[in-house]
Amino acid sequence: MKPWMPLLGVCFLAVGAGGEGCQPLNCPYPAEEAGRNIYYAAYTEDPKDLDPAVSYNANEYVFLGQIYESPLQYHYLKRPFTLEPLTLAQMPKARLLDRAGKELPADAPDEQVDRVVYDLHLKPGIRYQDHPCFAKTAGGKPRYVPVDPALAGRVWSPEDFPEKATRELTADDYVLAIRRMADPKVPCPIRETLAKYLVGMEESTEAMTQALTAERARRKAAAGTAYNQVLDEKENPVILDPEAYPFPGAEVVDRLTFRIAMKKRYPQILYWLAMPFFSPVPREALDFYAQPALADHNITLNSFPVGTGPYYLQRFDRNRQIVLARNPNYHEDRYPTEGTEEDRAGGLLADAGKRLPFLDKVVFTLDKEPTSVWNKFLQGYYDAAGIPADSFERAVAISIQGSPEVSGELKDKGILLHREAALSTSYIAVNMRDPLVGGVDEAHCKLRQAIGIAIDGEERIQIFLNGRGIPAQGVLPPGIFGHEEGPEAMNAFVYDWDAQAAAPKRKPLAEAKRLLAEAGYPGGIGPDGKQLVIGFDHAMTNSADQQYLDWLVDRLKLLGIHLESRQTDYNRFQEKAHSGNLQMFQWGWNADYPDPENFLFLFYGPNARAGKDGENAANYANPEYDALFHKVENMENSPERLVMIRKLRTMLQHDAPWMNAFHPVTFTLDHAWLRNHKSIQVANNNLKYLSIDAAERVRRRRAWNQAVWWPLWAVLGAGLALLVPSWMAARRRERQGAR
Amino acid sequence: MISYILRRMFYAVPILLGVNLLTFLLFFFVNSPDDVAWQICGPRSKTEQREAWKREHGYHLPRIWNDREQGLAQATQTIFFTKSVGLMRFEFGRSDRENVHIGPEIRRRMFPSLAYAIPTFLLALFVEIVIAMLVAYYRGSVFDLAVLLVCVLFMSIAGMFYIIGGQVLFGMWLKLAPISGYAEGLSCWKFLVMPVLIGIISGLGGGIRFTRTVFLEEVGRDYVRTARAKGLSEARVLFVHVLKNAMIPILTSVVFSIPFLFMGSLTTENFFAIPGLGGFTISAIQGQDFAIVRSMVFLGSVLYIVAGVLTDISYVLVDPRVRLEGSGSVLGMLKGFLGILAGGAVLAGLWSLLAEHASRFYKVAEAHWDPDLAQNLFVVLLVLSVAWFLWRALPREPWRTASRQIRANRPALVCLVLLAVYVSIGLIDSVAWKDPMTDAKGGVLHDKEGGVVLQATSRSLLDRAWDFCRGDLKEKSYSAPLADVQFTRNMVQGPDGKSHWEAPPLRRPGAHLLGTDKVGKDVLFVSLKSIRTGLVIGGITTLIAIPFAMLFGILAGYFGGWVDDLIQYVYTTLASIPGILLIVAFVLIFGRGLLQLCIILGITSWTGLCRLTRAETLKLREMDYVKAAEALGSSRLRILFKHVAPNLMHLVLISAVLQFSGLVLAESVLAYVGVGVGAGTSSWGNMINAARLELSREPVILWNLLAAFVFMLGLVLPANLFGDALRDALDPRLRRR
Repeated sequence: MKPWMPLLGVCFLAVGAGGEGCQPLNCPYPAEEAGRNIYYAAYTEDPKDLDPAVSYNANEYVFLGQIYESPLQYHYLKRPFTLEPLTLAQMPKARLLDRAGKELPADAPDEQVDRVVYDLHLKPGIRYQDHPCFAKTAGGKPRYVPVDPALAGRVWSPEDFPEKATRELTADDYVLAIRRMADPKVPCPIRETLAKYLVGMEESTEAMTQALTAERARRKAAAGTAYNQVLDEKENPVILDPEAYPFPGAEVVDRLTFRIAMKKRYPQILYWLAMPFFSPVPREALDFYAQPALADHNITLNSFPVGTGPYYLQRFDRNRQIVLARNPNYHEDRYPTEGTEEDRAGGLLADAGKRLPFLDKVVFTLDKEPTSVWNKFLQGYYDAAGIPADSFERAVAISIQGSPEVSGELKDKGILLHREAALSTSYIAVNMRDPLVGGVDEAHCKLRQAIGIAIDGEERIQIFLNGRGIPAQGVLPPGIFGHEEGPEAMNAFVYDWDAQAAAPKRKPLAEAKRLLAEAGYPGGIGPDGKQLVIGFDHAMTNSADQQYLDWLVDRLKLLGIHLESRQTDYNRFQEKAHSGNLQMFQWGWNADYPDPENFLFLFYGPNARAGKDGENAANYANPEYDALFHKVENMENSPERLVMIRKLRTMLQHDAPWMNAFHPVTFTLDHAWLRNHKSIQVANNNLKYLSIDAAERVRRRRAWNQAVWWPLWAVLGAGLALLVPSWMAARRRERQGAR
Repeated sequence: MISYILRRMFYAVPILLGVNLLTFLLFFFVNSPDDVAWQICGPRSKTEQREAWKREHGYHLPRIWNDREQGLAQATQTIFFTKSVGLMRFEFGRSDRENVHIGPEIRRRMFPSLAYAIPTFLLALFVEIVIAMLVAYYRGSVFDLAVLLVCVLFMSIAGMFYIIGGQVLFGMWLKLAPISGYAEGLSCWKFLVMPVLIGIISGLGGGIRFTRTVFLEEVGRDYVRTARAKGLSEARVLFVHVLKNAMIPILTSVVFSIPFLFMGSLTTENFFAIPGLGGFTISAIQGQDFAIVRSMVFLGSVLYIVAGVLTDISYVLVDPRVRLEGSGSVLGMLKGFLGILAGGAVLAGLWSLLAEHASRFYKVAEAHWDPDLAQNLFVVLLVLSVAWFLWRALPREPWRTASRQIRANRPALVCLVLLAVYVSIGLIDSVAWKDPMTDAKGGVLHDKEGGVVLQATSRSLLDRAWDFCRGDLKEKSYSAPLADVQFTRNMVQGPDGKSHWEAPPLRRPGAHLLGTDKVGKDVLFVSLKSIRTGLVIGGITTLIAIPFAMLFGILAGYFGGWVDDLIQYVYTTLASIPGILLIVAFVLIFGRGLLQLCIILGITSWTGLCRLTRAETLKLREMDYVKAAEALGSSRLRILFKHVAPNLMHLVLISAVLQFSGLVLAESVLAYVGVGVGAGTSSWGNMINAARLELSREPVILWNLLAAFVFMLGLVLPANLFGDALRDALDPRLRRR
């Protein structure tokens, strides 16, 4: 019936008989890659910007973390998270100086401390990846600055340049990177945070901004009415040299030593030193990439990083594939030898002391559909995968002991499960400035406590996250100093302690109704005789979110409260948050570093979102809290700090600016051929530890991906069978007389 | 002909200007540059960072008028001017979000788009022609009927089903091709086999039907009779004589779509991870990258204009009878140009007025608006007007003949009954009111003034009927059709205090005919609720589009001259902007919602019908009876409404029915792109969208997808079949066959 079916059959036959005979038909990779030491992963969102001073995004850190090296890193196996030197020779120590420059003891009071100084010593002999920006002419001049226009017309990536070279990492590169963050042309997201601490950063930005504005005004005056900034700066970009402006907070001491100077104590700076913001940037690279002829072909620092890391960017095709290859110049770096007993049992120490990295290549493929990613993982074409919420049933079962393990088909495939509590908290909050639901008076607190009981966090996690979350008792997630479990830490306004199960148990709905009545809304009816209507502001659009919204509305209906879904687009939502017009909403927070300060500051009054762009999205303001937070903020972890953190926790539990919160738990799955995988989300440079059994992978992929041909033959056969009667009909028709 | 082409080129300038202005206004009266900066720099960005971003990308200037400058610079030192200058020079500049040069990016992404689009296009054309020839050969036989039915069936399935189904079948179950991906160079064929195949199948229904009609029209001509009379075999007549002649209309209709192959396919590219221009546009829209959107819209309109010229030229090339006239006088050209420019200015002014004041007006209207009352009134009015139309029109010609024909057509009657069932469910679901709040004992609550306290949400008759028959007990999560236990397993605490993992029993075992969805709603009920959404989208949109299309089409066709120029300009400009962008922009201004979606779909969909009515009016204008009426001294209005409009009605009715079913199907794509009816409304598009994830479960959850499929098919298939029957009954040219 369908004559094109045979055609199709021939087409598929050609595939079957084609040159790639030994590879499964559905393999998305070239045949020559089979059996090679390559790690395959997917990315669902294309990286926006790979400039280390600009990027602030987990899906970009996946690449940056492997290419660039910050001074410090997290120990791969040790828990709780421990910092260790990466390019530094040893861990930096803070030195406190008074106004006269004299060194003070470590416990000196804050008033005396004028400067906090860190000296950072680099390991010698660390070299950059090979890159055209380091290539020199015989006379010692840069080979490609300025670039030959004919060559510039041909190249589309630094890999296309005929000559490449390397050089040693020096202290200048780190200092340049820090000073670059002050450049107003570089949209560095942490500039304001750092400027609070680093000496001279604010002034440096100020001076550079003035220079930039003056230069632009000059150009505009010279060109007159028709001046077009965008087109003009495309040809002649305004380039500021960050080194030319004084910045005493970051200075070179000698070839391998640089110094960071801060205005006050800030022990958290060490965590920042483990983030890609503090990656070295060689001056040669800046000069190389500043050329408009290269920018025309999208050869820029945003797209082609130059680093000292274990991998370099071999191919950057952001809308399809990003390939990292082993950096042949990579310095001496060995797999950790220390780990827990669990690590030893899990085989994570089998490679202890071996030279890193293990993989030759890492291939990232863009796949926007979660279903495609998941199914390609199951077919063996991605080596690891997160679990989409809807595939949970399939992937994971809870064993009799209650701990999750992989189930059925996945178990047969030898797939392994990893769990890690993410350093993040997702919450439903109110705007504390809202007259209806905000405010810290007793009635409003009771209203929020009642809502907190009604929004059944356990059921939410069960239905919408398949159990991949921990209901929060406080704001700190597991793994952070100050996170505690047990009856003391429990949120006693929402839970009762169930001694038999040794776990918190949500208070019954009757209790919530009682609280609501005390708050002035018996049965959800307010003093004006009308039903209490609360607006839930959100920017959710997809149908999975809709199901969640329905659920939320139903939960509040149980109290007689009408939750009105106020959907806006994300921009409006931001604007509303900025202008303090949200009522009830939900948001999340991902920690930058594993320190309680990074969560507790979410409630610090002066850090309000409304009007100030702070991270205190609930606009919570409580002078008592603020005072205590000030003390906790820059303390080292100690029993005193813990006592204060507990006080803060109780305050938040009572005032309930967040009515429901949970800490997400991420589940990742590995194929049996992937070795040395331990989840550590706070670190970005984990790929160098992974290794692959490529032969095993080839074997399993082949076994799992046998093409099924018979339905095609069946269709083809049916088509052929139809030919006979149609031929007969045609003959009959031809013989018919005229009608 | 050269002067004709020159004239068209000349006309292209104001159209491109208009498109550029419209895109700009769309984007920047919705989003201020501050919004864009928020979007790009992220929720954690600081004010200073956003300001710096704006300066670097030239968004620090005022939008359209710069008060701080002097003289001409007031207009040039603006975002609009600086950005447009580059565009007109085909310098697309850098994208806002990723800061990459757009020009090279478009050039690179064009090839994957073409690698998918060209084989799909050519193969589909080939297959369509082959099958249509066979059908024409066996016309009138069972085979013909069967193929026709299959075609309508194919046309009644939403595009999303083909993509999802194809991926599951070929990629996951049969493992014949990679699920998604792409490769450079020739090795891309491996990734393209499946999308191309799916692309061909999804377009087959409409294609075959169109080609078949063309063939049948040719078969009726004199030369065919002559050839037959000479004693040629039927096969020879068809494959030699008819084929050649039929290719003329087929090719000319095909030429128009060629330039658009460059623009790529929106959904297919996203699903199969083909790095083409379609995916580029979609992610730019979703990420609000104005620079990319503007460039793509500009490119799209250029292609639209090129396509128009190509089509006209191809007419001349294949059909020697067609002559294209170039307007001889320079004066005429200038007049036309000025008219179009004036039209552009009016359009821009209207739009900026609308955009600036509409959202404010909308908010005020929303505050004083009783949706229940308005909706109930609307439903009553709609029913009454349809009844009135039927009562007045049916006894008259040509409706009387048509209704007689349809009554004699058994399948059409069945379709009509099915449609009536859908419509009545939709109507029942549209009559809604609020219930009073009750206290714990069931008594009605009163407020201080003694008024009854109403619940905040209203419930429709359908909700009430459902609750009455079935009770409103919801389950917790998924359950299979007619199952007794939940599909998903939960952590349950046993009597011994230990937790274990099991499937809990349902509250109403065996009661859910089609199972329940993720939050435990009955799928049958959700599907029934979606009927109203589908009908409203198809129906209201058509109701909005038709008056516009008719009015403007008649005016343009009858009066000609500058009226024609102006109206043509407006619809060409509108039509050359990719519809999805207009929809997104509109939804951004007015918020997501059923009514908003209908209005913007109405605005984007009137242009096609307008062109049709204009062409038909051009013909009718020259008819004897119109001339006679003019000679008798009838007023122009009378002629338009008494003589021209009634003779267009059959055309309008047919396109209305077909447009209706197209819109119902389109809703699912909109839901996928994220500009659907929004989260609060049940719709088949939302169901399909949710089902995408359910397909990757094991065991697979199919009942949601299947329910949406069946319910959608149940509406669109009868609508299409009935549309066909209506066409046969009303179109006098077809009536004889």
